[in-house]
Amino acid sequence: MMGKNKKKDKQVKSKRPKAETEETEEEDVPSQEEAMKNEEPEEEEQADEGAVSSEEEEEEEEPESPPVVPSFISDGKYRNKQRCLISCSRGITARFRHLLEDLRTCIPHHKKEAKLDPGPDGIGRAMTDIAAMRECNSVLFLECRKRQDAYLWMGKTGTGPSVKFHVSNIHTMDELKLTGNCMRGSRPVLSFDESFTRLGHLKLLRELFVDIFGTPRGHPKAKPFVDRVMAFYYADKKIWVRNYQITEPDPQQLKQDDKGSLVEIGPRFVLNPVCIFHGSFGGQSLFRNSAFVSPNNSRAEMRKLKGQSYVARKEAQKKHKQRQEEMVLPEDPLDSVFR
Amino acid sequence: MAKKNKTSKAAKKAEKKGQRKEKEVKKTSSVLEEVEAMSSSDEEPLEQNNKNWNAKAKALKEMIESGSYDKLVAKGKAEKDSKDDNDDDDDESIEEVVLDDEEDNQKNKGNNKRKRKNTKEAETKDSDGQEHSEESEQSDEEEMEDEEDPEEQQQKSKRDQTEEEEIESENSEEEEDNDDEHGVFDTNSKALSAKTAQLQAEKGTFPWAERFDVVPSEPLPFGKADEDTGNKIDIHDDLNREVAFYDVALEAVQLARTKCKQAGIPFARPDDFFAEMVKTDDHMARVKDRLIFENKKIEAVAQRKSNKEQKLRSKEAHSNKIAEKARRKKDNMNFVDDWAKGAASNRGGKYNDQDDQVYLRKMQGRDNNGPNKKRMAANKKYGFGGKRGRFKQNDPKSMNDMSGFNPKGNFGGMGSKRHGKRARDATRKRQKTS
Repeated sequence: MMGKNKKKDKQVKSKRPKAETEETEEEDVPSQEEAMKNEEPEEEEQADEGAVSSEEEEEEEEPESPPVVPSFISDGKYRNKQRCLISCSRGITARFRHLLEDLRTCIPHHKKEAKLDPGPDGIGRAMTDIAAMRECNSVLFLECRKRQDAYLWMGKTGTGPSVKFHVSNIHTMDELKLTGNCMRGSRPVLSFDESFTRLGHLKLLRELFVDIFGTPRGHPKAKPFVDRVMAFYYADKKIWVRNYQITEPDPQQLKQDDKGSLVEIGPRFVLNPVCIFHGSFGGQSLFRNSAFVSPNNSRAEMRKLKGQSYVARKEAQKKHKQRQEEMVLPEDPLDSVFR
Repeated sequence: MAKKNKTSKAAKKAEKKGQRKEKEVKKTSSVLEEVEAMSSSDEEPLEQNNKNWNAKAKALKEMIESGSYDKLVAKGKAEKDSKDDNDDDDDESIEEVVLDDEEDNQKNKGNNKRKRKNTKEAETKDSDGQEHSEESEQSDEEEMEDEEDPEEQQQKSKRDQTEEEEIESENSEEEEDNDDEHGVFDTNSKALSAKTAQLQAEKGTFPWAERFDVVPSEPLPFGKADEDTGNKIDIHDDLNREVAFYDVALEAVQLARTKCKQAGIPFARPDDFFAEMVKTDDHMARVKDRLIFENKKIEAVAQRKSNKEQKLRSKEAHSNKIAEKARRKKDNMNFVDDWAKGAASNRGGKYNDQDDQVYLRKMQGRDNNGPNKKRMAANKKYGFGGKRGRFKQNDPKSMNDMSGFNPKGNFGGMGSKRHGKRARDATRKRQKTS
């Protein structure tokens, strides 16, 4: 008993200076939480920190102690701070614009930026500058080329890695066939295919996705209940992304079907990784997808094939002629025997 | 023969190393004796086999040095104590392995790949499921390695020194192995894994509640060359692909639910919790309208189909009824006829049978008097064709006849001579007074 009290005193002392620096409203909360903590065994303390504090802080703002200037009022507890800068290039078409809007609604911890005109240094420089200005630690940039192809850049500013994807098969939330709906700001459950634990580049991408697509806990715009699943699958060397709404099973039908059901919300798209860089928007290349055929090249190939038809036909005719000349029956000496 | 070859190879190895324990040598020699007693001797193929064995021994040695049997060393050590029991089993198991030269080489190569995978996965702390399955497959070779434990022990120190390099080379090799399945990826795997590790370390202390990520164990059944799972769904088969995605996501939800419960995070949203939704009410109304519309379409199609069927059936039934009715009427008439005949004969000879017959015919309504007169009259009046058909068609004279046209617009019809109300009343009055 005495030992426990001693622990309590120690911890209270360590916490108090931090608490005093923050607002007085929330001073009681840490002490309560510490009391709860002390009852738990030491081993689980770290693990449960988040759990215990979450229950009481779900509606409060998240505390944190990062070197960057915090956007919300911190409370002395470690919290995951993520801010994502979402922007696009000029020349973007309607579909891609809607996709970006949908991503903005799905990512409550985003900062919107107007259309970017890449300067003489290129996109990377511009993005890193703007991100530094807006104090964002991750970036999501949709680049549209020829008003046809969309490339999605994802990366962490500063030292973080960055990825370039080619986006295809886009279905936005506006489509009436995607009938689900979820709360704005609810934290999604991120579901990763088992390939994301095996392949090297996918492991890195998993971490990026968790940071960017996963809502940080306790974010002011985050809502408490779990409403949405964002699922990432790896198939055909591409990453397929789906969003589903979680519907609870009927309590009456609990015995029959314990599982609930999923309704697709959207957006849904397919990401084809092109390359992964060590730094943000550049740097040493960590991964390059040699199986990726740029859409320009594929279109060029198709046009070439069309042009080939005439040449192929002419060649075939030539060959036919040649074969006709070659295929001559040899003269049979016995032909003239019988008349 | 195989046994003999194996034992000779073992003996050669003992000579090379010179560190075989006496126990083992004795055992092999005893085994040799047994073998000699049992088998017949064919010298020439034996020599050839010896050569093959030499090559194999070299290959095995290299594999061991490269550290692909690391896992087995640990196992071998565990089994060291019970070696005596295992020796007989070893011989038998080795025989199975040795049957065909080519098969053996291929198997070794395949096992190499799998074993490299094993080592890599052991290091990167991946799912245990794969390891277990692959270990069971290699049970044969595990037991084979028991006899080479002392050699391995020696080599292990050597291996430890060069372990890091080999691991990385294995990594790169293994990436190629993996990537050969997926196509050629150009990966700088060292730097990639380093970066990944750095990212993971930043979030190392996070409890699951911060990350909210889940890895469902159900595999995606999309066609791969070497996957054993039965159903290979084509990636372009939309319906089945989405079903597979749905199943995996559902499993993920279950996992997340349990984890949230553990972490104390509320999962289900109560009905009275209102919050701004991602899609506006207008949008949802439009979605609802579309759903209703689609349902209506489906229903309309179903209705049309059923109507068609019903119409067909009702037509059938109706025609049946009519036929039935006609038959009954005919029967009735026949009965009446018969009765008439009978009645006439019963009444006696004075009566004129013909009169009765005529009277009865009348009663019957003259069925046999040909086609319906009414029908014929109507056809004549309203029908087309026939003698007078010509007179029912327009000719220029009749078309240009404007006698029926009255610009004043008293629409009384073509030949109507009926005056208006005023005129009629006036005439009536005049008639009354007059």
